Amino acid sequence: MRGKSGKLTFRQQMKLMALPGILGVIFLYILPGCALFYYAAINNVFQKRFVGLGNLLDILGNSYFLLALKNTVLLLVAALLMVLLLGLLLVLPDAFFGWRMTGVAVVLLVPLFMPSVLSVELLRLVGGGLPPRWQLLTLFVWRNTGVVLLFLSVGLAKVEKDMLEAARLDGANRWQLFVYMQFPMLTLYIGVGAVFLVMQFFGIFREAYLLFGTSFPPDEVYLLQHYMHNHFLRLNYPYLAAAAILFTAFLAGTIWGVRLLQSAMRHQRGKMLGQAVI
Amino acid sequence: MNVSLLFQQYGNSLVYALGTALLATLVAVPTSYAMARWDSVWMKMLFWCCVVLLFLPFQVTMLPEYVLLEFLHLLDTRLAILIPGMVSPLPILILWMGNKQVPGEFEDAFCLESGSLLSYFRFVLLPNLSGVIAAAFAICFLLNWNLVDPALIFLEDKGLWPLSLTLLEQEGTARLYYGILDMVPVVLLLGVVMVVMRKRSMK
Repeated sequence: MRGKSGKLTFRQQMKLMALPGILGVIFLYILPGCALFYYAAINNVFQKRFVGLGNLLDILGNSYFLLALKNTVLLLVAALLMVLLLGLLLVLPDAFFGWRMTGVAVVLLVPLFMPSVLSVELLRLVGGGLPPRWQLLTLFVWRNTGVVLLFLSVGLAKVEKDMLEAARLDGANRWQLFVYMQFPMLTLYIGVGAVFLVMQFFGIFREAYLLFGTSFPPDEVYLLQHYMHNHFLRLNYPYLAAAAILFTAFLAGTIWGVRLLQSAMRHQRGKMLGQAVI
Repeated sequence: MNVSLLFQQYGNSLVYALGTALLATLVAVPTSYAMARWDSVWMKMLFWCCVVLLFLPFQVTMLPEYVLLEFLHLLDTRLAILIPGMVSPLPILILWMGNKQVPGEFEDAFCLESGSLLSYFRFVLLPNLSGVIAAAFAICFLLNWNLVDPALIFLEDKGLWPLSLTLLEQEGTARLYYGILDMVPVVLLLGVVMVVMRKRSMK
């Protein structure tokens, strides 16, 4: 319905201007994504015989897929924990003594924006003798701690100083201040950091490719990304598509699960607050 | 060291990074505004699509993108990098967060003066979001400067490769020189960002 003067209303203009983005997402990601379902349902690109869920069952029984899955999950959890713990450790001086860690954060940001080849070369110089898993983990931790430290510093700066002063007057020591007051406020920023780290970990194929020089790295660092990349190069589109669909479904499921958990926790907190008021 | 090829590839890196960052930010501004202000099931679905797309590694979307680019005969051209990069979920989500911080009352107040959304953008929204837009642009630029995966798969002609891929093929001192050249825009951009942030915090 047009506005009084016959021109488009705000909302209509907004929908019109958002059209390129919306159409872009649909035509660049969602519609081509349907090709995944087509390729996952055929046996190979030459015969194009329908096999339904056959490819999915095939890859779930494939030893390389299972190895890749195991390594991906293991390395993801290890990398996440290592970076978050290191970030928290580095933010402790800020929490305890108020020393701004911006200098350290900037120094640690450099490896993230360095060309990947350079950072891989530097790692090879320093840690070339380490086992492959530790090489990859060290590279990941070195590249990503800076951003997590930045997030945590920002989160810490948002904690109100008056509250901390009041608690200190009540006799809390620095450690108690951190554990009971500053750390709970940091949980949101730890969450943001975790999201960033998961994003970075899924893009780790580039670093692994540069580090090991091949898309067939040692068994212990063979990830799902390697599995999918190799199938693409061999024109095994059906297996690639089945793995991609599985990956997306698992990711979407995890995000949905986290959402449900969040709303359940919020509901719980709301109930507790309601009881406290009464 | 083939100097003319080096310059061409340096130019390619600039085109891909600047082009993708500009286009992605340009497309993301109105899309994120609609996502933040328009309460509808479709926008919620779009939001969650963007969230899932954000996490997906390139390997998952590489086959659909390859099929699309082959269909459009865009493989082995510069558009093979620019078109998929044009609609990136990262700037959309960053700007969505920024839009959520802008109070809705600004819109209502502006409606009394003018009915043009473009004026609203120009006079109210963009000045408010300038920091966030700059951050989204900088992040997109820096992430695309180090492009390796899509360029490796979609581009065959070495004349179209960005600098980050050529670094792979260099040895020894050539690698060092290329690496330093590669870092120059990154350092410049980070320097500019730090100076601007310091000026803002001094205000």
